Amino acid sequence: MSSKIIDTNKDYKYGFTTDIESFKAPKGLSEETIKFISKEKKEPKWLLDWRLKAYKRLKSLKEPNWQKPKYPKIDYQDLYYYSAPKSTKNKPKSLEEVDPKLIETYKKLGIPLDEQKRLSGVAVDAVFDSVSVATTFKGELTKKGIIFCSISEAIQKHPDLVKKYLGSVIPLTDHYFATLNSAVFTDGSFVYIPPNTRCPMELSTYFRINASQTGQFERTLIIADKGSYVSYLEGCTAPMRDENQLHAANVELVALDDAEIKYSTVQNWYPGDEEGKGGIYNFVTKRGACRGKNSKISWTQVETGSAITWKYPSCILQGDNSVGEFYSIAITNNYQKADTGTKMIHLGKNTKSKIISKGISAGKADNTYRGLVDISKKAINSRNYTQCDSLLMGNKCGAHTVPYIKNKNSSSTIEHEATTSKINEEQLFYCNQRGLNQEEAVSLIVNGFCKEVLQQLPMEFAVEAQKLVSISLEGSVG
Amino acid sequence: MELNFKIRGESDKSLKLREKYLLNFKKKGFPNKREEDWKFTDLEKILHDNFKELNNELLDSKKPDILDLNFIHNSVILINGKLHSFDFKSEKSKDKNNFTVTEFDLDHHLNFANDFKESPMQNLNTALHEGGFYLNIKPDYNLKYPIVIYNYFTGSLKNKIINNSESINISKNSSATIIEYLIDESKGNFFKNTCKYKNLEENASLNYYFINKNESSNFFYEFSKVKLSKNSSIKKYLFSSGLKFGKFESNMKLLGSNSCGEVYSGLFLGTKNHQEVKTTIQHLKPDCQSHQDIKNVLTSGSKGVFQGKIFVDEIAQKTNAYQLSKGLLLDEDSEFSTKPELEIYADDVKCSHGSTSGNIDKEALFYLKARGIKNQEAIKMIIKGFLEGVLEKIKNKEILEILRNHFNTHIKYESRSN
Repeated sequence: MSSKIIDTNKDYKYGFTTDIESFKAPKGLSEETIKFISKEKKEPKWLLDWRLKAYKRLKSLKEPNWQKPKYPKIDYQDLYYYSAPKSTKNKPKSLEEVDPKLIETYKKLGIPLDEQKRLSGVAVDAVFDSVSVATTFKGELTKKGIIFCSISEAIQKHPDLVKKYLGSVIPLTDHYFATLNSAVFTDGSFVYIPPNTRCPMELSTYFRINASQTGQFERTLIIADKGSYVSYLEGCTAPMRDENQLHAANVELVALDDAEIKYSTVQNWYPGDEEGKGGIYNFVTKRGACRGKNSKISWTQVETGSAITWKYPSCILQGDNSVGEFYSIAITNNYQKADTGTKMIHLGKNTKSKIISKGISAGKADNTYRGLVDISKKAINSRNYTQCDSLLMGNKCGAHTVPYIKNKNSSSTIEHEATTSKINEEQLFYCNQRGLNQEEAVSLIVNGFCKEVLQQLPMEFAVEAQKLVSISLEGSVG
Repeated sequence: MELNFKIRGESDKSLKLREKYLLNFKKKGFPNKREEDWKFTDLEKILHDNFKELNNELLDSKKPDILDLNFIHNSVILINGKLHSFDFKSEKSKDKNNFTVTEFDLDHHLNFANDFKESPMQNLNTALHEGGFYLNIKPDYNLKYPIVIYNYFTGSLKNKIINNSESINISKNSSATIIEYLIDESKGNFFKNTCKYKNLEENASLNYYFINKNESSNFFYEFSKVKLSKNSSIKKYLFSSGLKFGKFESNMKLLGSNSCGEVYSGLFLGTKNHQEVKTTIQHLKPDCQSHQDIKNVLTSGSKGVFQGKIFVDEIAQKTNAYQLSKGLLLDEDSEFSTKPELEIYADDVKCSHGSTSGNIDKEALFYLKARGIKNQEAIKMIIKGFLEGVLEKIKNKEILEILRNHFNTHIKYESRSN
């Protein structure tokens, strides 16, 4: 596999690499690799055992193949499972000690890593390849009792919390990629919000894949204790390479009584070039459990990057009166493929869920919404509303909707609707007439089409996401 | 469950062929819920729970006495899946060369069966195929009266499996109305596995109804394949309330421009009934239309399933496809599962689907009760209204009459409260 950096695609402004010496685990997936990762991170024995158990399980699992986008077989032995910038080997105590090159990278990405950017009010945990680099605003959060750190740090400092919740939403025995992640996860974020606390700022993680032939397997765990609230943002970029890189993260959310978690993602991994060469395989497992009464989990995602996006952020509505929401925009252009949606599993009484999904397909891309709404027998008086709209641009792309809807009790109501169409010509004409060129008009209409989802994003992200929506579709209208 | 399948062949060649298909079937056996197409209907388990044995021993085909639809019509009579007789006296005698009915044989069956070698049920059907008919309407002829296909089941059919097929060809510029009328007076449980083929040539049209007369404790599976040429249209109505188990698969290919496929279904499911309607509509040419309207009323631990797929090929611009599925759940033990699916590769199209499920609208019930109608009656009225929506497009008065009777027989609702 070659890993030469291609510079033909100028549109992807995050396509640079940072020339940092990195420290890698030996290539390939084996017990040794897992032991190496565990040792490198000075993990307790229970976690190593847990990883090995996952690895054992993994060997008996088959890679799933029911998804719409097919991809060439991944050689798991040809990947690095651990890659860390060398300079972080002796962990920095504060931002001043972090390698300036890394800081430079994040500056290029536009992340307010520097505490001087306090005004923007976003606390960031940045993950570079496999290692969490720095977490900002630590002091302010600690005052409130909020724990926001890398998961490695949490394993050292808050082992009880990690032990209690890790794998409680996505068990070891889940599907192939989730189990793979359990075996080899390297870093990620950990958030704990104590009871009756409202997190005063948006928490944010920035993921970046830098090294080549590296898989990124991060693990995020967010726990909102009784009566708390947190809004969490996640952004992703990667350099341009002509090889495909695997990203298989696990994200677990736990909301206890009366707690609320809002999780927003703007995913802009490198999508590959115009011929479909290179790009990230984004095979992520995201699942939230509304464990407590009146709890709420809300997923918002803007998926514009990746060669293949394959994920279903889900809600398990266990607590009575709990609420699950899913807002999604998935944009695919050129040869990109997306198979995304959600699962809403209603178990508690009076549970509610809402799904708004907007898929946009251009070029030769394929965009699939796949979702499950399952209202169990005991989930009386539950309610679901689903709306899936797809927009097609050109006749070389595809838009698909595959919802599974199960209603097992008579006091619950499910409504589902889906439409597929192209951009309304009258709307285009209206815009053209008022002096907007074709591209501006399309961008305006598409932004309108996505409005219901964009509204759900926090301010800072909403503006960026709007731009991203326009950029992703550049060149798709002729 | 013991399977005692005996291969009977017309010739050495067909024996060999049938054996090959039986082997294909045995590789996978009856489909179960691990297969995507059978996700909501675990046939293997359902058969296993209800049959100790399945065999395909020869059946007698004695004709029962009464034919009970009293309006002018033509008839084709099938007894236990085999063609018994047909009667087209209602059409004028000068027209009698315009249609033919023949027994359906294996060679003919294979012409169609080749397309779906993958499916275990079609493999089984080909291996054990016996009986059925082939109806051909010649060009430029509009049938004056409907054809009723009496599908009788009689005698002891315990542990029997019936594999037959039906084929209908409507030639250029012809049209017909066909009513399949199921009458089950048999004893003992049986399982029927049928393949149906319908071919509509240019400008042809067909209205096809499936109605069953009485309640049946038997198990019906049918796979129907429809090919539509330019400007042709089919309207398919499915009223199979009262069957203990039914799965009706319909695969429509819109192969000519301006063709149109429609599927309507209104079902009332009672005690532990399990019925599935599965449709695949493939838009393969521009300017085609499809419309689907599926309504299920579910009571007493019944399970209703709808899987519907709309496929639009990249050349099928200006497609207009719509699909609606609604489930009315009247008690805690019933279940409604749907999988409405869109797979679209053309951009200048209008495709949409909607799916709802839930209980009776409380406001509607209150409205009726406020006007002095008892709870039980009010609920019945709402159920009838819900299902009647499917009847709106039917013009033929006689058929409407049969369907109203059908609903009166099958809609049985006893409210637990007043």
